[in-house]
Parts: sequence; C-alpha cells; structure tokens
Amino acid sequence: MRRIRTGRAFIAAVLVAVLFLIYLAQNGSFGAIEALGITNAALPLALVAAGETFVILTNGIDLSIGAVVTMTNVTCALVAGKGHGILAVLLALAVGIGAGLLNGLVVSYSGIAPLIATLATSSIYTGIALIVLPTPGGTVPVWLSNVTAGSVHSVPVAAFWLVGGIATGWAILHRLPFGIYLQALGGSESASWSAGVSVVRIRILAYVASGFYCGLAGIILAGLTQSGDPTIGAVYLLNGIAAVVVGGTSLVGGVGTISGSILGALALALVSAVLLVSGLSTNYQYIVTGLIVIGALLASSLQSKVELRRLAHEPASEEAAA
Amino acid sequence: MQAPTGTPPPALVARQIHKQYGGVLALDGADISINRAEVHALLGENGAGKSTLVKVIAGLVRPDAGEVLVDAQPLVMGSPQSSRSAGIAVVYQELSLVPQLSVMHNIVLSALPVRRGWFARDRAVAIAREALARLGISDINVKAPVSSLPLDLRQMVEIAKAMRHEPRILILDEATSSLGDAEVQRLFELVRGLRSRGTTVVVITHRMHEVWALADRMTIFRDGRTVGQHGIDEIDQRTAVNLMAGRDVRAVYPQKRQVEATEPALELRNVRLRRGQRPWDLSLTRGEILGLGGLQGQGQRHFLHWLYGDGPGRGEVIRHGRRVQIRHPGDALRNGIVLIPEDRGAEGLHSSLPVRWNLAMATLSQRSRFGLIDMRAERRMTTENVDQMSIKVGSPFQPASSLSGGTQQKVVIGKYMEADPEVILFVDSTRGIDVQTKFELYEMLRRLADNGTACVLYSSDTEELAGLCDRVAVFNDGVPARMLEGDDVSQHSIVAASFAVVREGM
Amino acid sequence: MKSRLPRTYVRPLEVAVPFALVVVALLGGWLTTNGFLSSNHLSSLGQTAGYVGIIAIGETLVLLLGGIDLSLPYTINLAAILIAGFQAGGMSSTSDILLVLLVGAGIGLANGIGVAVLGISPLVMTLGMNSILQGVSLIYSSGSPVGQAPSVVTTISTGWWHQIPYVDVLWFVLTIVVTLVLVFTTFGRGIYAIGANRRASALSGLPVRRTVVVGYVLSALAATVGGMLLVGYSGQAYLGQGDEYLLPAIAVVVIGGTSIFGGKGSYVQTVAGALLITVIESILVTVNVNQSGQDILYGGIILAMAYVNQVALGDRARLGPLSVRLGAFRGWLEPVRRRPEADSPRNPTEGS
Repeated sequence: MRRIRTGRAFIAAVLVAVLFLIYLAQNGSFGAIEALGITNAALPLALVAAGETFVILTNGIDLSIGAVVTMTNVTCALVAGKGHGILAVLLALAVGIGAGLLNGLVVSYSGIAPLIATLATSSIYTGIALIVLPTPGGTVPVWLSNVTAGSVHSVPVAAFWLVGGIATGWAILHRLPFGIYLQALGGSESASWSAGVSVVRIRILAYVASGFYCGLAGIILAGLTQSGDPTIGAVYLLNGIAAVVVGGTSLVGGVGTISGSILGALALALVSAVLLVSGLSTNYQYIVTGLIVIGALLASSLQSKVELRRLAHEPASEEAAA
Repeated sequence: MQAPTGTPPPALVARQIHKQYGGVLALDGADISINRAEVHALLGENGAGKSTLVKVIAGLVRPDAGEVLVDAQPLVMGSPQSSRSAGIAVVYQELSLVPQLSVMHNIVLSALPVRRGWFARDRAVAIAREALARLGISDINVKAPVSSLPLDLRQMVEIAKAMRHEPRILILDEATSSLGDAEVQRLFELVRGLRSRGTTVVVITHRMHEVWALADRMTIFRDGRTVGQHGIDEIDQRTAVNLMAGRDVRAVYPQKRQVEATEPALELRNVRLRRGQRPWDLSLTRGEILGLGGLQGQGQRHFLHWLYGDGPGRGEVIRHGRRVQIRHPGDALRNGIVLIPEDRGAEGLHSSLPVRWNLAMATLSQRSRFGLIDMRAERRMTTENVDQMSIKVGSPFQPASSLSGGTQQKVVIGKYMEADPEVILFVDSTRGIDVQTKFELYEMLRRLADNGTACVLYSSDTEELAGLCDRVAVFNDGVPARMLEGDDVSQHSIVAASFAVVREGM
Repeated sequence: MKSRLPRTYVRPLEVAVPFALVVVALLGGWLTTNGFLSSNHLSSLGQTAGYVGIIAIGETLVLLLGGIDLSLPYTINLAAILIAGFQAGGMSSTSDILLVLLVGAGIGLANGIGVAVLGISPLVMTLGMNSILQGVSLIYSSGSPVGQAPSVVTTISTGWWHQIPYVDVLWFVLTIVVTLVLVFTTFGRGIYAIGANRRASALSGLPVRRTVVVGYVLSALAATVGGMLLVGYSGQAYLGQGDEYLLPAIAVVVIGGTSIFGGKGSYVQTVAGALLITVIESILVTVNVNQSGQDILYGGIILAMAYVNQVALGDRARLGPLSVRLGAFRGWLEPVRRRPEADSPRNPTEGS
C-alpha cells in the first residue's frame, strides 16, 4: 500500500496530453484563437459530463441530459431575447433543477429503472423545448456572451470555467458530506442505508445536480451561439456519457471523479480539433470518438484489475471467482 | 425472567418477535433477555433465526409482531437511526462496508465530522485511527480503500466502525468467522474490557469454544424460537448442541463405509491454484466422501471452482486414465463433474424462473435435438426429479424464489443430479438449511457414495466434516497440507490440524 | 405470497394487458376520428408498426439477455445507405441484400464480442459502436447517400396483398419464428436464463458468451432488415434515418412488459407494444397534436406503462442481493428500491 494509486482520471489526463501534443505537431502553434475554439467546444460538454457523473456515481444513469440542455438553452434564449438577461439565466437554471428534480423523484419513488425513466423524461423535455421555441431564435445579451464564450487578455473565459469546474468537482466529492454520501451510495447502497445515509435524498440530489449542470451548459451554449436552438442538445447525450466513461468513472457506481469527466470532455473536444487541423474530414471524428470511448473503458477496467491484484493480500480466490 | 427488585432492568429484551418472508418463517416468537454488562451468546443452527433477530434489533428489518426494549424503553422498529441512538451497534458477518471508500470514510460514515459544512478530513482520520487503536491495531493505512485490505482486516474495520459511537450494546454476528488466531484473541480482550466498562456484548458464533471462553449466559434458538436460556455454568456443550439441533446429534450421520481402493474417480496432478505455490497431487476414489477442512478462506472454494472450470489455477485432471481439459463448467459437466455452489441465490438458482426450468438447466442438451427442446421429456424429467428429491412444490411452473431455503437447495442439487455425475463438489451446501433437510441431504450423500459417486465436501461445519467424510484434506493457503484418514477423522483433530498447518506454514 | 399457478412461463395476464390496451386505443381512435377503423387505415397502422416491430426484435432479445443495444440508429442508417449505395453501384439485388446482412451481422458480432468476451458494458459498447457507424456512414456516403432499395425490398416495404401489407406478413412470420425460438429452443431458454441470472447460467454449463454474441448479432440483423425496409419505403437513404427509431424500439419493448433487467418477457408482448404506440401516435396526429405534444405524451405513456409493468404487475426479477454485481452494467437497469436488500428472503437463512 505504499505505492501510489493512479487516479481514475489518469487515462483521461494521458489522453488530453497525447492529443494536445498531436495537435501541436500538426498545427505548429497554440495561441489564443486555438485555445478559445477548443475550450469553448469543450465547456458545455464538460458541464454536462460533470452533471452526469453525479448520477452515474450513484449507480444510476441520466439519459435526459441532452433534452435538458435543449430545454434550458431555449428558455434562456427566449427570455433573454425579450430583454431580461438575468432573469433568463435564473429561469434556465430553475428549469434545469426542476427537470433534475422530476427525474430524481421518478427514479426514487416509482420503482422504474433509471434507464427507462430518464429516456421517457427526455422525450417530455424535448417536447417542452419545442413548445418554448419551435424554431431557432431568441437573442442573448452581450454580457452573457462575454461571460461564457469570450476571452480575458487572450485567455478564454471557458478555460476559467473548466478549471473552476474541476476544482468545484473535487471539492464537492471529497470535502462535502454530500459527495461522500454519493460515493458511499454508489459503492454499496445497503451499507450506506445501514449507516443512516438518507439514500433517497442523496439520489434525488444527484439527479438535481445533473439537471443543474445541464442548465449551466444550456446557458453557456446560448452565450456561445447567441441564440436558442431546439435541436442543440441532442448530441450531448452520447458525447456526455462518452466523456464520463473516458474520464474513468465506473458505470458500476461509486468510483469516479468529476475532474475525470471534465478532462474526458476536453479530450473529446481535442479529438475534433486534431482532426480538423490534420486535414481529416470531421466525419472521422465519430469513428475516433467511438473507438476512444470503448478503448477508455477497456483501459479503465484493466486499470482496476491491476490495482486489485496488486493491493490484495488474500489469495484473490474469494474475490476474483465472481 | 423477572429481575429481582433493586437490580437494573435488562439491557436488551426482545419479546415474541415474528418475521415471515414469503414462504419462509424466519422468526416464530423469539424471546431474549440480556442483562447489562454481560457477555451473552446466541446459539443456534444456520437458519434458526439469529441473524434475522439481530437485524430486527439493529433496525434493518421490521418484524411482523413483537417488541424490543432497551433498558426497558421500547425501540422504534425498522429504523437504523433509532437503534443507533439507543446505543446498539452491530458487527455483521457480511460486511457492511463500502469497498471503494477508504477505511476512515467507512468508519465515520454514520456521523461525518463536519466543520462549518465542510467535511473535516483531519478529524475523520483521527477518529478512525483512534477507533482502530482501541482494538490494538495501528498499522492500517486509514486512507486506503477498504477493498485493498484482506478480509480479516476488513472485519477489524467493521468492528472499529461499530465501536466508534461507544455503544452500550455491541452485537457481534459471526464476527470471528474471518479472523485469524491472533485477531480472535485481540477481540476477546476487547470484549472482556468492554464488559468491565459496563458495555453489554451479544455474541453469535458457531465456534463453541469461543462461547465457553467468553460468555456469561446464553440463549439457544431453534426454528425461529427460543428453546432455552442458561448461564454458562448450567449447561455443557453437548446439551447445548442437542438443544440447537432438536435431537441427539450423535445419531445424525449415516453409517460410514469402508471405501475400497478401486479405480480413482479423478486424479489431479501438479495442481497449482496460485502462482508461486508448490504443485500438489490429489486422488479421488470412487465412492468416497472427501472433506476439505482448514480455516476459512484457505483456498478450499478456489480449488473446487477451479476443478469445475470456473476459476484460475493450473493442473492436470485425469479421468478414466485420460487427461481431460476443463476450461469452463460445460467441460466439467461433460466429464461427469458437478458443483453445488455456495450461494444458492446468486450462483445456484435462477430464482425468477420456474422450478422446472431450474431443474432442466444443466442438462438441456440431453433433452434436445437440433437445438429444439423435447418438452415432453422435460416434463417427465421434472416429475421424476421432484419425486426423487421430494421437492415440495405446488406447480412446476412456480418460480424458484417461492420455495423455502431447504427446498431451493434440493432444486439446485436435483438440477445437477440430472447430469448423472461421477464426482460431486459441494461448496458449503448446508449453510442456512433447516435441520430436517440437512439430514435428508446427509442420507443422500451417503447413498450416492455407496453407489460409487465420489463427493468432495467443503463445509465450514467441522462436525459435519467429521460425521460425513471418509477422508479430510486440511487446507492451508491454497494447498491441502495434511490428510486425515479413517479414525483420525474427528471434529477435534480437524480443528487441531486446521490451526497446526497454519503454524507450520506449509 | 400466493401464486396463481400459471401453465406457462409467460403469464397470460402479461400478454393480455398490452393487447387489451391496443383494443382500448383503437376504440379511442374510433371515437375521435371518422374512418379510424377503416381497413385502409388499420392496414397502414399495421404497416407503420411493422417497421418498429421488426427492429424491436433485436432489442427484445438483447433486453431479455439483460443488456441493451444503443447502436440501432446507425446500424439502421448504415444498412440503408449501403443497400441504396450498392444498388446505385450496379450490384445484383441478391448479393446486395446478402452483403448488407453480412455487414449487419459483423456489427452485431463486434458488439457481442465487446460485451461478452471483453466484458465492456453494453451501454458503452453499443454507444461507441453507434458513433463509429455514424462515422462510417458519413464517410461512405460522403454526406449525401445515393441510390434506392432493390425492387424486391421496395415491394415488401410498400406493397400490399389485398389489405395486408407485405411488411406485416414478414412481421408475422418473424414473430412466429422468434417466439418459437424463445420458447422451444435451448438457445431461447439460454436467453431467459442468462438474463435472469448470468452467474448461475455459467455455472450450469450454459454457453453464456456464445449466446450473448448471437443475441447481439440478431439485434444488429433486425436493425439491418429494418434499415433496408425503410429505404424501400421512403425511396431513398438519408442521414439520420435511424435516429427516430432508438427510443421507440426500446419503448415498445418496455411498454409490452418485457423486463428491462432481463429474464422476463416475450416478443409477443413487444408486438403489442409496437401496435399500441403506433395507434396512439396515429390518434395524436389525427387529433392534430403537434410534435411537442406528441413528445410529451410519448414520454408520459412510457412512464405509465413502465410503472404498470415493472411495479404493478409484480416485475420482481430478483437477481439476488444488490451487492452481487452480475455483469458490470446492472446498476442503471435495476429499479431503485427504497429500502435495500436487508429485507429479503435470502438474508435470514444466511449465516445464523
């Protein structure tokens, strides 16, 4: 037990480093413009992935993330378009939280599996988004764009958000009771319950967190594209989960980090950047993403197996048999 | 059970607790009365209801009827929080730790130290270290994940966790099952220390010598009911065991036979379950019952699963003089080897599927042609099997989950018996089974052996091993270190050998 | 726990309820629209249901196994693009179809190997595969797919025999085949067993890996056939053709009552689910509910039916205690219980 355990986010970090190097090799330089493009692309995905991490840590899943992003995005754009910038942001956040709350309540109280429940609610949220804004529209005040997608002395604001996200994520998981309960719940629900952890409440909060982060992503997307779009969120479902997986969070629950998911999102954003800069058609992005996701999971499970074997003193028989 | 006036009320009283799970009557009017600052043992066979009663007291399970009083105050049923506030702490046999979390997180989980809303990690570390130090342990890295610790240390963490709130009543439910000698002694010291400080300790264990070494009084359970309550001096081991079993235990086991040295059923050569072990050989004779003894976790399970094609390991398996490859259970079945798994629910049965399907599961290819199942043959098989194994079932399409524990075990065994095995591997198959069914199984085992089937029996019950087996291989660290035969096969010698081979470090 | 002793494994009630709801829905349609029950309309409803129904064959099998297949959208799309592309390239119809089916089988094989042999979570494996297939589709078609389906496919897809669409004939035949396989073959029995308890199935000597792989192959094949039929129907292949079939494919299985965590259900129930969804959608369209309303109602119906099936009809596929993870993907497929497994039959007999 003297050896350092490679963190769960290890693979994602390596991936980011490797991709970054490839990018440099292909592009020759990495200046403000490049940084802006990459971080702006990564940020919404990173937020969505961070939110999804909360849910996956509790051994659940949230498939409505794409739809919630859409819903909050159009809400923000619509209300901001009517001239109420701050209200737009607050309302969008409220919508995200509300969606998460509904998800959490359904999952906790109806007995429906999270997969099905969030699949169903995603349809509901998509429908709501269409009602709010049937076609792309709305506008966004300049200050919002600056706060989300601008630069400060040639350092992208998004970079601050990303770093802030990593720091907050770490703090929540490791220094707030909520984070510890979250990991306990995902690791062993029965142990948590017998320790007096309010399993239901933590689970609902996890889904609320997911909704909240999706709300943030929707707002940032509004700032980025300076409008609302009822189809904008769809792509974030698959990519969001991909980022979480790449980030090293286990789908079995209880193991994982938010930082990992954010790094995973960064890695995925770098993939398309690298492809772009290498002159390869962006069509390849899908293939590469798919391979990375699968590969990351394989690497992750390999990492776990190696760790277990190294740290276990018992003849692994009783553990490894299953 | 009336305390004389002037003495304090009993620390813990349970009255007429009833609990039923579907078809299983776990508790049928259980009573206990435990005095303050005493060490009280709960004895009973597997399935007698002790664990369920503990869960009721701990608030994890709400009983159908009955009440629990702590210091004469009634306890709120079904609330772990309220049991905890009443000063009750339980250390379970199945660990209730979160494997991914660190030792310190697990120990403080029920009451996280918090400083202005933030988790106070430094205090958690201190609390954890202190809790472990009280148990005499100072060499565990409290920041390491629990999953990285070996079983006995995990058990220690579990105990430290229970001790954290300085409980008034500490319940140890089979807490020593994963512990080595030294840890058990440490635990005894702890228990005695607790008693002298006024804590009440309830001990549930199968190890008789522990009871007489530690306890002041005992309560004996059978079939979910209290059948006796005695001071430690009022009763001897033999009587207690008889009360637990409900009959004179000596007469339980079927008559052993002298096994003729005929052709071996299986020969195992150069077996190595783990890298770095020295290879060993084993020969299994037709018609014999071979027991696997030794302390728990010494590789007995690993060995059986490897032989069945379900686990890592290396070695040659020779059957009828020819070497065979067993890479997965299908191969084993084809070679006449079956394994009755330990965990009925997770490994042995398809609980949600009908009994008929369960019985057919291991021999589907026998009753099918070109992949099509012969339904009539299956129906016939089911009827015959149900009859032969005397499986009490209403309809063959009932889900297996609706059966009692003992009947479920019969279904598992019936399923594998369909494969007409030459070798049967039993992995602790009589755990949690009612006495009646257990005896039926013993009879069946002896009949099988007499008919030429070789049985390998791993049991955590040394008495069972002694009573049933012709030979006993005592395992240590994945290797059968010593073989007991003939008259050497007795409960006492098995236990002695289990400890001896550890000391010899073979 | 009284058990009404059933004669077969699938309780009649589980099949009857979804079909009864179909009848109710049809009545609802009849009440709201003239001509809803006309033979023309019914046939076209059947035709529409057929596409989802056939695609959902695969999803049913995979869900019964306890897994999931999220690679449907681009398996469908790739199949559509390929069959049209091959036709445009001048290959013969038969070799086209066979080649596309081969590709589909290959996709399923990859999925199955990833899940069964490499132990990758089906969610991730099929999600990743979907992404890969999306890339392949884009690259192959260079963004604009060409061609049409072979005429035989078009005929099956759009043609009717008297009042019965050929698609439904195909669907009917497939339903019978799939049901026979599930009920009467060792493979089918294995699917239920593995879904119910993978570990016990392995210990009983069942060929778990092989069965899982074949399951995913069949799932991809069903999607492939669906993709070809879709091209036949719309006359061309286009990108995104398969996207709108993922949610419905899963939804109809769930609505039909097949358990999301495996080992319980049947394809017949999925058929009912497909019919139900199609009828309800049709009602919504004729009542002029717009897209958003449809989406919302869709989600609501899935929730309602999932609740009815998973909770009310007693879908308690107990896999053993929560702490035993039989396959790394179970967690998000299991319904959340308010009190964990401390309160279960297994525990009292365990240990003491």
